[in-house]
Amino acid sequence: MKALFLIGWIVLGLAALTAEVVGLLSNGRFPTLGDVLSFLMRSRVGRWFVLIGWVWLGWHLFVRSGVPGF
Amino acid sequence: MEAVLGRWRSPARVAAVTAVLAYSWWVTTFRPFTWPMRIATAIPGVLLLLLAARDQRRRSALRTWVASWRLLNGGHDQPLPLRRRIIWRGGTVVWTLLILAISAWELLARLHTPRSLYPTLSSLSDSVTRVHAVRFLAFVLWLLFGRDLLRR
Repeated sequence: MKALFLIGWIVLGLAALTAEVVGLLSNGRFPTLGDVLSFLMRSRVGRWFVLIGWVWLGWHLFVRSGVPGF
Repeated sequence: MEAVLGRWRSPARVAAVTAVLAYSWWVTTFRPFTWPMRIATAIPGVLLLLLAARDQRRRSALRTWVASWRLLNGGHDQPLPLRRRIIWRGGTVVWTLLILAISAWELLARLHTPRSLYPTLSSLSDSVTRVHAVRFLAFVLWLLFGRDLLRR
């Protein structure tokens, strides 16, 4: 099961990286993650959705992550 | 270049950057799952949300925003030609699906235990952020990302 989840994370990571590289090389034809976030944040709902996502990311990485004996 | 150097000559800016770096270093000395870590991480989070609430720039309502997606202009003043519009709009769909897939995968892992068999983003990052310097760098990057979002 661990291998399946790890493969899933690798595939998703590579897909996101590919989309970002395509966006950067496409000269504005294909959006980067930054373009999508900017577009999303044009609306009030989207802006709060992204900002709360940022808070969740920090909380998840720094507060709720843990290494036993750290 | 001169503008960048000029900004760095401002004592207030240098003091602010030093304070943020010192705060980040101090915060990342705390252990995860502890109250000091919770409070120290919540402070920049709450601060950013308060600053966002004070932002007076006009934002469109959801319905207007959906309509603007239909007439997507990719940030340009004039609407894009049909072919470019389709590619741009397809890109937004690709990113939406990717974000949903990552969220679903994370949720699926979180609903199962043990964590060693069902790794989440945070458990995967543990091996890297075990080193204090890396944890500090990650915290600074998180803050910079937040500042960038606030400016959008």
